[in-house]
Amino acid sequence: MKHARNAAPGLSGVARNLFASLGTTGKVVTGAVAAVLAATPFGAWNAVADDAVPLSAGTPVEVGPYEVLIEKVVSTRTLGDVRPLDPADKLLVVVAEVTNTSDLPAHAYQLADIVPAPVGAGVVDREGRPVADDVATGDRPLPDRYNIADAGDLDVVNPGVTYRVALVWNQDGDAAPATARVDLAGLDWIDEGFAGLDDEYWLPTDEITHSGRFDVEPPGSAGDDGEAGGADGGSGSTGTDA
Amino acid sequence: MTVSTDRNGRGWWRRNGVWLAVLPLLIAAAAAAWSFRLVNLWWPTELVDEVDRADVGETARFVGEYYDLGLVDPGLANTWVTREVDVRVLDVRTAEGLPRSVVAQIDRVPDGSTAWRVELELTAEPGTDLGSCQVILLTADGTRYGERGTGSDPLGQGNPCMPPDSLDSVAPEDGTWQTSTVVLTRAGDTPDEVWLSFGSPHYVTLDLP
Amino acid sequence: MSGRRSRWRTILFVPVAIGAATWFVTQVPQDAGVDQPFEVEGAVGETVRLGYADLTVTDVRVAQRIDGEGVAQAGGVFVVVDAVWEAAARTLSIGGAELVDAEERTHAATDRSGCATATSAAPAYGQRITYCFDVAPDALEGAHVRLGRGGEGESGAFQRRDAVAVVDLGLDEAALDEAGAGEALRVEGPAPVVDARPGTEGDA
Repeated sequence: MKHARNAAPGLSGVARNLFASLGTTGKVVTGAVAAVLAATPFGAWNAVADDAVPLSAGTPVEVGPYEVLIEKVVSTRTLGDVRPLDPADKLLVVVAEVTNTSDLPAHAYQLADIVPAPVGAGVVDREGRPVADDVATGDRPLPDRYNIADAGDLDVVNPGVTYRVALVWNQDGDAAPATARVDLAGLDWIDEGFAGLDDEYWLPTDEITHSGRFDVEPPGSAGDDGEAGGADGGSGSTGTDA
Repeated sequence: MTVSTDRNGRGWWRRNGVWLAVLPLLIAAAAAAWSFRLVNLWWPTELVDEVDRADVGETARFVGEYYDLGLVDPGLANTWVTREVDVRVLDVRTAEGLPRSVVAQIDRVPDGSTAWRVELELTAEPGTDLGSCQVILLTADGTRYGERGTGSDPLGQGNPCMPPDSLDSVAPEDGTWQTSTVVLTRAGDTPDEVWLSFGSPHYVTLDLP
Repeated sequence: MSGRRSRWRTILFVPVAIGAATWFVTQVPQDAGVDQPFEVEGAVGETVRLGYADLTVTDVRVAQRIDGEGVAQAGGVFVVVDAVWEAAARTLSIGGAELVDAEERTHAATDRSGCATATSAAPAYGQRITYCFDVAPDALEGAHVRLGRGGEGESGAFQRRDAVAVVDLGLDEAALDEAGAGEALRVEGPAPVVDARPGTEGDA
């Protein structure tokens, strides 16, 4: 054998030599394995079936460290001091009650991973572009989060503590949907990450585990007024009172 | 394993003899390198490099490289710049009051603390960037007072390398100038060294009487 | 042909060696002393010496609402812990704050309203910080805080082989009565202590 011709074949050289040494069957099998491996990041192993569990208002659901209860979906012009980025738009608010049922503190920002933007309700992203109905959960626009009790921010949710939160998206001003589809996406507990570099955290799966249609309370309805008042924090600038 | 020979017909042991002899030394070097302190050599995030040391009343010469981001002089952006500053202690004495500042978090000497006024004379090429300057007082037991942590100076003082009331952090046209800054220590502690630094790892030491 | 066999052996050698080494490393028993923090116990009002800093928990209060930068309403109840840090030999960042209840549930501090989760500490003067933990009412009884310079990270990654103060808060269910729905409790961000520091009173 002519070892001297290629003293350091490198990784690709080794792979080429190895591939060349395989029989026809071996080549076919190797090719198939390589194809599956290459397709893995694009979801080759994902379950094909749409097996989301039905979701309805007031039913608690376990997601990651949280128990999440979707209370209602509200469309409103303003929510206290919160206004849409474009004055012609509206706000789409998902009101939820969340409890940390684990033994560790949970990051409130992960509520945005758990509750992706509702589908079919005219949600627009921060540049005002409409969001298509088939956009993957992880690619939908992220909501602003408010603790309804004090209209403030929420950073951590400690074990056993319950908050009523408002998740707020921008909604197309002309959209007047009667219902919207609310999805819940799961979180996976990563006890030990790749090479132990990143351990013990909740990783968004971006896979829909629960899904249900909710009535959207239109602007100016009684429920909306109550909501805006509740999250208002006493600013008195609610634009929906009239 | 097949015993291979090269074209001179030497065996494996002969060919690798030198490396086998060196191997114990390499293992010893690896063991020595397996030390926490060596991080100071490769990743010096602390003040570990004393550039110069001056006796009482003498001048110390600070020479240290830093990576310029071009914030002061865009012409120097993304280059390594050598900063050269000469420094001499004029006086270190206890101070009764604290400097007046609207951004001070501490407006009078705290109970259990002593305030020291440190007066220095600096010499540098006009235009030298003196950002992140720190004047630190050390006591015999190694306690460092006056290090700027992540926050700003709680006494609300500006850059301690700059003349009073200057707004920027660039060496003035005069080339030599005096500075005055106040550092808090624990009551009863007397500093015996001043350190001047522009961030880790370089500093110069100035002995005090 | 022997050349092909030896190549296969070389190729196989790498995964086998890595596998064997990995197995060996996981079999070596981990001594708890290797990566556990050094816990120093203390009580409210007592100065805990951690080597790199002295810590005194000066006050523990319970409130439904706190007011620093706007009013924050607790989801459970706020445990408000006032502490004073004084660094020993150099200026430090203090980043670890955790409340652990009797059932070993851990709780993170919040930076809602005027509360802080981290500060810097210097020698020469005390630095006061107010930690706020929004916890379930049943977590009060037997709760303690773990305060240190390193953050918790992943399973205490930044506290390994470093001192952490464990201070019992001495709370019980009765503390809930004082929480009440009255005035919101005033809290302020970290600041140096100018008046008499804890730990220096008896020194003169």
